[in-house]
Amino acid sequence: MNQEEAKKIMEDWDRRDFLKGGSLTALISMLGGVEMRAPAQDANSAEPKPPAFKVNVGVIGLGPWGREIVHTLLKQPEANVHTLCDTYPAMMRRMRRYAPDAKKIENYKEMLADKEVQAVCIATGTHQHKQIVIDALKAGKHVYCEAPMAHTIEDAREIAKVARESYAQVFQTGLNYRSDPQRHFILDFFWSGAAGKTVMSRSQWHKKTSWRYASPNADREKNINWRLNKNLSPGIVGEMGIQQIDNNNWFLKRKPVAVTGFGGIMHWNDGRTVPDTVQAMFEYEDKGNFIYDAALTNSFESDYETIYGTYAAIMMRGTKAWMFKEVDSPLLGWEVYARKDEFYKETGIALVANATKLIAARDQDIEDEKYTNTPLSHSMAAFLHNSNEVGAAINNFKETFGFLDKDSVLDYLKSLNLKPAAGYQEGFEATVTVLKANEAVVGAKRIEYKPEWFQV
Amino acid sequence: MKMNILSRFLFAFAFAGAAMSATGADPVRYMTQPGGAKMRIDGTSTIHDWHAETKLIGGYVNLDGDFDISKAEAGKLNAKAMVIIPTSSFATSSGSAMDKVMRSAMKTDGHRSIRYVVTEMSVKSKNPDGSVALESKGNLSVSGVTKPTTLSLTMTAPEAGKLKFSGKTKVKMTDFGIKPPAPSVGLGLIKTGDEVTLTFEWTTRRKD
Repeated sequence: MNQEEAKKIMEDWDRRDFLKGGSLTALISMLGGVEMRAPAQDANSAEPKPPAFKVNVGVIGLGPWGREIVHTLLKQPEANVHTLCDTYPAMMRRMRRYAPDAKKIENYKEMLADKEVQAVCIATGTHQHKQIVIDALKAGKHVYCEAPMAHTIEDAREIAKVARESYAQVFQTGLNYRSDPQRHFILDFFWSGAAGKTVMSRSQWHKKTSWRYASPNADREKNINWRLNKNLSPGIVGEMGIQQIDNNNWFLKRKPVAVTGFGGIMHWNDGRTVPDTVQAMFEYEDKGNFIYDAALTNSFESDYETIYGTYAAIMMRGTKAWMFKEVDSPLLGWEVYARKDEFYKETGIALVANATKLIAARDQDIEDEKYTNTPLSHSMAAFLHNSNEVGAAINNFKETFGFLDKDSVLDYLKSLNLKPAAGYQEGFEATVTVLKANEAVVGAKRIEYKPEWFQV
Repeated sequence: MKMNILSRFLFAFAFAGAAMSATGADPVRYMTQPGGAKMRIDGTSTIHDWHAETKLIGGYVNLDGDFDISKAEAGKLNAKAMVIIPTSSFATSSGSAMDKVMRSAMKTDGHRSIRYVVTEMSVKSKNPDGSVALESKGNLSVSGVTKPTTLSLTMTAPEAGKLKFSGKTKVKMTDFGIKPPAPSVGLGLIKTGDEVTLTFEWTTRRKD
């Protein structure tokens, strides 16, 4: 525990932003806390500037999440949405008015053969990732693959192996908190020891929804509802839980040693074979247990992640976070400046990065904000930046030496100023974690993780 | 955001090659190779010192075929050399935002590389550790401006068939038409110093 380090981190915060942001966060907070904010950027610097580069991006899979990716890319000045691909034409028609200039194709191989496309985002069903991702990497594209990487560990490992071999390209998995400056800010604070010794953690994802999509075509309906088929689906714990479970592993710097699962079809008894309400308890060495629950049957308190320490609990909700201190925790000093939010009988100290930017965003079109200040938007920004940097670096390397030398390339790439993002190793480990958790849920059993499962 | 300002500049440096008085042997080329190059630019600002680095140095050095560093003697060398560094390959100590500032100052879009073409190379002395002190004269081109530039270099032979050149020199950004960046940040204007120090090492391998 290093309280001095924690103090220093907090001293870097712009205290004026605590005050300026007070009313904004107060609207969001439910109980009570003290808000912690990262160094704020000058709101005046938010004026639009021409992008330093453009990346031609293709998106494969235009379901709800694929369309979310397209909308997010359309808000990124560095992205040129070049080609959209889906096997169902109606999905592409939906995007026509948003991306009228993008090519619309049904066969992803056509996109991969197009030299103009530099990077591809793959948002098909999880069970369809493997071949598309491998083909894209072998075609020389930078690849963003949604998480989980695959619906089986074997498929995920194959993807990870090819990604590792494709050292001259970016491979990013959709663990979007890993690119979110807010999470990095909290992470530094948490790792400083301000919360004391970690004793347990808890996260949840609750939403009242069937998870079922409707279609007039029976075959189509079967295909798009792959998440409800236990043979194809990683379950709620895999599809929705991977972000939060990876977040916990990341913060704790640990992989779990065991998981015990529970769950069942408690409400949506519509022929599905995937539980609609689940709990998973992960065991960690030295860090206590992590209890995760996800439900399609009740929306109470939506989603959040909480880590409990002997001095404080840290609760994260999307782009917001709060610290709840124990009475015997050391005084950090900055608390007097921080905004406190009441949470029933608790008082939370709010922790938020990019405070001024968020405040400025209040005046923006809410539709803009929806796509410009989300973990996905930060993840896409990282993917575009890294694709451009790595692409240029590889070209420079080839022009300088006339060929690529793997060790030297990897050494050189380490020197670049890349943005944080989850690569194949993080993506693979998170995928293994949740697939085994889903197996534990479906089988109502305890599974001990074997270290070799996490090896690519 | 850190307050360092690095900015742009560019330069190149160079070196070249080696020694040996011309005895009539056919020239051989020493080519750049991956993993053996590093160039660092150190600068100052009103807030912090800053630096930028690259590991990409291309080019070649031509020397007489019977050149032997252990027998190098003071005097002019029969050498040719060219060094090329991609301007966009530098990464700054202050992150991607400062990379952007630096690239803008170096006009990397229009001037993709820094070049140093050696016109004359001389052995100045031989050092007790077996290395050789060289002086190279040549033309350094940065951001579209070419200036005659003289560099002091040290040449060593880390292993058979390899020659390594290293050195350190100071240049002014304004000599190459580069205005020392003064980016506006949250706390006001930051000014970078005109003079920067270039430190480099470059390993070449004999092309057989």
